Amino acid sequence: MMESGKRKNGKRRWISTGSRVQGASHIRNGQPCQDALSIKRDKDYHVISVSDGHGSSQCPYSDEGAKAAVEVAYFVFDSIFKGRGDPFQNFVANKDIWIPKQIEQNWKSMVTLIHGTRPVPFSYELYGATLLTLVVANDFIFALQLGDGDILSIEPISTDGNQEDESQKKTQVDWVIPPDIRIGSETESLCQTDAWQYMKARIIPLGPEDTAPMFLLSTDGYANSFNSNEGFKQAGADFYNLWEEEGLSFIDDNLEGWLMESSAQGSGDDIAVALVKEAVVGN
Amino acid sequence: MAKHLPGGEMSSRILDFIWIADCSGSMQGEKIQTLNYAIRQTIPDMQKEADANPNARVMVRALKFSDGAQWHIPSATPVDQFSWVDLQAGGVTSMGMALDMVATELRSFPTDTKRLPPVLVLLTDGQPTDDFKKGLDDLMGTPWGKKAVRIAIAIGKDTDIAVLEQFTGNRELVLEAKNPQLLIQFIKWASTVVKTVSSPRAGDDDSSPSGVDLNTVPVLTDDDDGIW
Repeated sequence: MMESGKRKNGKRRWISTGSRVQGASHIRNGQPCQDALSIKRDKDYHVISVSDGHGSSQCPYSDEGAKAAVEVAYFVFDSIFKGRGDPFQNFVANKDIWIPKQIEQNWKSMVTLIHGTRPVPFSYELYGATLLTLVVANDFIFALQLGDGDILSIEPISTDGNQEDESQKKTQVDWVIPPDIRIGSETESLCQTDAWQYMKARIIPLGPEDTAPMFLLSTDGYANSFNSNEGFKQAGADFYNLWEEEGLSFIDDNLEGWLMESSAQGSGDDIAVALVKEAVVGN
Repeated sequence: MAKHLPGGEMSSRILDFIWIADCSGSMQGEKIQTLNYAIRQTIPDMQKEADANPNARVMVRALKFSDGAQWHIPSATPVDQFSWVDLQAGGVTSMGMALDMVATELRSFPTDTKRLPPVLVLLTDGQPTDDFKKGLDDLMGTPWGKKAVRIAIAIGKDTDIAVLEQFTGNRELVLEAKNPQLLIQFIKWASTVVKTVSSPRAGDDDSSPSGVDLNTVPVLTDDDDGIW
């Protein structure tokens, strides 16, 4: 999945791509892929979301919960862009309470509808899932996270040397939302009571002259495949360099295979990864 | 596909499995013999589980307690290389010291997310003769101890169930082995929980303690004859 764009009439344009794969252990055990990925593109903004259905025996429909999570995220954010007022100001004003509450309420309504007449007694836990979402617009970035997973920003480090001559450009890789120190396999979830209180949101304003970083969103099956956090951050840097040097089509051609191999060598878990980068004139 | 995967070195996550075995004098005879037999018999099952899930590296070790406590199999041993060394019984029940030693070990684990919660299986037929509370507090004071899957197997009728419930934090994870057959079944069951503990759970999920599927716990049937 890919799209190219150009900065035109002073408007920032975005290019986004992503893939999700069934985990190696899920393939062995005949379990479905419980990660969801959604990339929605409007001319003025992209909404990129990944979600990880918990997949434990208490959450048999978490693959559907994950799909509902990424759909709900787009629904809520799209309504802000299509509503009255300046989207940036609306995101700023609503990022901590209204948006998280809307996401929780809409997700819970949606999974209630999905459950319908299933013979199993209904509970939100049956559909438990995380949510990581990124909105990239002309003048701001909005990130929201509930539960495990990672949103990284990757940008080149300015140097006064001959950086262009180096085979690998130096990059700065950081978490957009710092991860909680968690032990083991417990995670926050949309199925929790007052899940909105556990959502973390951040806005990054972008000035007209700013060049936005590249962003990587991933479910925890990806970071858990690496020996260390440094190894995971290196993946962000490698994606940046591959995009710069080989182009987006190279990433698109290989991403699914890389993720399958990462799951097989690492966590065994499902993996969803999305990448988004500002388009440069000429792309 | 490109030759090199993006990112640094990859590996599966480590899952530590620790047997904590009572070797006090009251375990002498059939109890310690059955325990030795059952753990040895269950090794192939653990290896099979590990083979079926190459994304978790199961590392096994064992600690014994009687007059004091010491590591019986001190090195974390990959399950495919693990072999059991028979325990001998004699002495008192220094359970608190045993938990203290486990706590010291868990404290040395890095608190990153690349490790799965450890599985601690406590086997005992009696009551602690030392400061159990201090040992338990030490264990629960470590991040991994708090998150560990803690299972207790009570051997015979003289075990202090309330103490074991404090260890597990859940009555349902105190398994009462009233006869040798049940002890064998419980040990076998405990050794295979590794396959269920690696699934993610919601933060406020208390329906299934430690992610363990309690529906699979063996139960006493009319066919199970004999008591200790």
